[in-house]
Amino acid sequence: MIELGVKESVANWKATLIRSFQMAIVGFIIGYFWFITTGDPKYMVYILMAELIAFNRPRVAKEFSQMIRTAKIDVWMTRPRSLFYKFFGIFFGRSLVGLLISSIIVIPIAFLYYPPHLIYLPLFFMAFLVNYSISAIIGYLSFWVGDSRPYEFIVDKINFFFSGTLIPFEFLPTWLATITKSLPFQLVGYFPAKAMVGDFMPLLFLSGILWTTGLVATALIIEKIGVKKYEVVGG
Amino acid sequence: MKWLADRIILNIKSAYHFKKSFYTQVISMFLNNMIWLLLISLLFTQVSDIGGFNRTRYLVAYSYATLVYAITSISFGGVHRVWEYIVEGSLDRFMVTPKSPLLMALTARINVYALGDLTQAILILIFLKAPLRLLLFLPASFAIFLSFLVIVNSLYFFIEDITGQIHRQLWLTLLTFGMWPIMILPQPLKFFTYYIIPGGITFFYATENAYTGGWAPQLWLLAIIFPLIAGIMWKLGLKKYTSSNLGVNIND
Amino acid sequence: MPVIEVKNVRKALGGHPALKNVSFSVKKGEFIGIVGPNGSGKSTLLRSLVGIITPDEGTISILGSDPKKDRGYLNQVGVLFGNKSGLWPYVSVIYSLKYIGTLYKVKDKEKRIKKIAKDMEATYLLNRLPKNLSLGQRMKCELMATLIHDPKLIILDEPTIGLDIAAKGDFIKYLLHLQSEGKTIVLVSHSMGDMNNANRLIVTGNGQIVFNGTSKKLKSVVNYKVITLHLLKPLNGKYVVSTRLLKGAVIDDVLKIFSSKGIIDFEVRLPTIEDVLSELYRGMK
Repeated sequence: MIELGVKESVANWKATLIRSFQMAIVGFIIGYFWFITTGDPKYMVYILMAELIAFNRPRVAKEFSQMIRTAKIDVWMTRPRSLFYKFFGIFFGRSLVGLLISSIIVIPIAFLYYPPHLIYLPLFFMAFLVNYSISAIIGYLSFWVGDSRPYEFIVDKINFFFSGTLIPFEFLPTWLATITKSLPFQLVGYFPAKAMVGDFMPLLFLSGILWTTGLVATALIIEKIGVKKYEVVGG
Repeated sequence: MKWLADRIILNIKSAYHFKKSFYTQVISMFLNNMIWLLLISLLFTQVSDIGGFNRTRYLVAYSYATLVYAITSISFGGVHRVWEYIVEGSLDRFMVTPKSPLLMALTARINVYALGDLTQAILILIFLKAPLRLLLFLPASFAIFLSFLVIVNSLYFFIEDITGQIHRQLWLTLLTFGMWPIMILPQPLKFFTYYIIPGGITFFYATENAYTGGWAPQLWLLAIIFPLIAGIMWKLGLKKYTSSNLGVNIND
Repeated sequence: MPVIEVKNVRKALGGHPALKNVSFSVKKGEFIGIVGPNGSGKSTLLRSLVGIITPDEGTISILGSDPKKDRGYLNQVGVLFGNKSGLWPYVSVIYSLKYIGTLYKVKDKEKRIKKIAKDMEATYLLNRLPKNLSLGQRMKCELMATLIHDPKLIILDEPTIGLDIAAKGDFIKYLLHLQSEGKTIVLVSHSMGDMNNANRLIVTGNGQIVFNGTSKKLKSVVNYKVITLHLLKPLNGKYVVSTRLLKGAVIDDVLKIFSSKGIIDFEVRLPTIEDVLSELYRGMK
């Protein structure tokens, strides 16, 4: 199933390549900005890793919302397994290709500033799962509200602000940093990026597993309820 | 110009038909921007200035960027959808009107979120007593921003990207470069953020010149060059464009 | 046991009754055509059959299962929506089919896909991209996707929409071939041409079933023939006019009425199913 997502990304190789280069450039510039501001090369690598995840985030909400609004979801509702499962491999395949190509460019650059701890690369899978689950939940809202794009927008912004991709938590006031550290968005930026610069937090990893499990379960439950509620007027 | 004004008013009326969604979008964007401003303000409690920009100047630059984005997205809201028309092969409907297809496509809709941006930007710029000189640079910044987006959309004549990710990432990158005072970057990087994805020059350079009394000559130069490039790319792309019944529906 | 059993199903959508006390059954190996005007409840009925919509009242049984409670029956049902694609436009057809085969846990997917493609004379499509295919070709691929898990029951919603006559003919021919293999076919369509080979027709109207029987029986609902006259002088701007010849009427009387316009030629025929349906639809309004 991942194969389909990979094949699709490879089929759109020009777009995949441009995006990957773009990610590398943007990540480098913002990383460099933080490096100059703080004087610490670790921040260069931190930002590069956080941007790597952010750029390859799965945009599930948009696709699910569109399918529900246009009733194209009917095709998938007549096939076994949950929507969550059916599309997981495809989105993962897409993200994987983007991640791999971007990494080929980004990781050597990172090594010039501070050697990233590549052993923590698998944490990117946790980040993907969290992003996928949250995005799926937003997409499922379309079963109730018709168009979940405004909510996707809001959650995207919250993710953007509170994942630590934009501003590392160390630069936030203590009270705000405490709030951000109690949300799951840190798992898609701050946590894996910090691990890559050698600050792996075992307790955060454990809570990450709980968060991830909880979000996946929530997504599946919401899907089940939404599918039951789904009604469409025929042509 | 009257035609353009009429079209914008029509787009706003059309969007306002769905009142609930309209207000949700405007308010959510307003709040989004206020959160960003809050975060930046908090960041400046940790550092006194970044690249010579203190908090006020930074917030002015950010709000100026927001203002440019808002004006573009309200008057030419279709700029975020032209890539879809190209991918779907539905540019045809704009090609059978007496006006330029590009103009028709650009003015096909309004980005309602941008009304929230506009409100926030104007309020903040007034509140922070931004130099009036900034208004002088508005046309140039607007021209560069719009042209850049047209260039990005024109790429879709030549590449296949059914998800629109390239378009989205490129214009967000432009805004991102306009959200950091990147004058602190070394020359090669500065060149990139000034002249390739010109967020730096469009917003921060303009703001810097507004405060220092400069005339931002490079900004005006790019305000001529970028529209030219956009025009050429669009024309080349349009030649390549083939409308077809087999055009992929991005909703499939 | 019937393959499909629908009993006293009612469903309201948006406060409006979309299905009113609908009951019917489908036996194994039957080819059923469901036809009706827009808004008559066909699509609501179809979606109820495949568990997308839950009826407010009544029961539905598909291969012995309640579609809303037990989704396991989907492994034996293939559903095709004519205007909705289940293929990925930028990946060759075979990969989309393999993926769908994975969902159904089909063993020897590649072998199965090649067999279906061979049967449908569509092997040449396997390595093509859906975005580059014509509508007829894409429908063939969509049908392959529907058949990959060898379903016992095949439900199709407007599969021939937009297809030319030749493509439609091929499509229906293949459905008949599937029926000869023992599969049960339920076809929802506007096109009466698709229904000519159906064992039974179910006509929907205003959320109800207004007819359930063979096409021969449907034609007998009307008691007239159709007479078509070719005129020398136009009548209301037309040179060819058709009218009904009610049972018991004499052709001479009809010819007399039009004689002033000069009759070049005329023909009398039995009403087609389209004529009958038009009659039924008119009655529904």
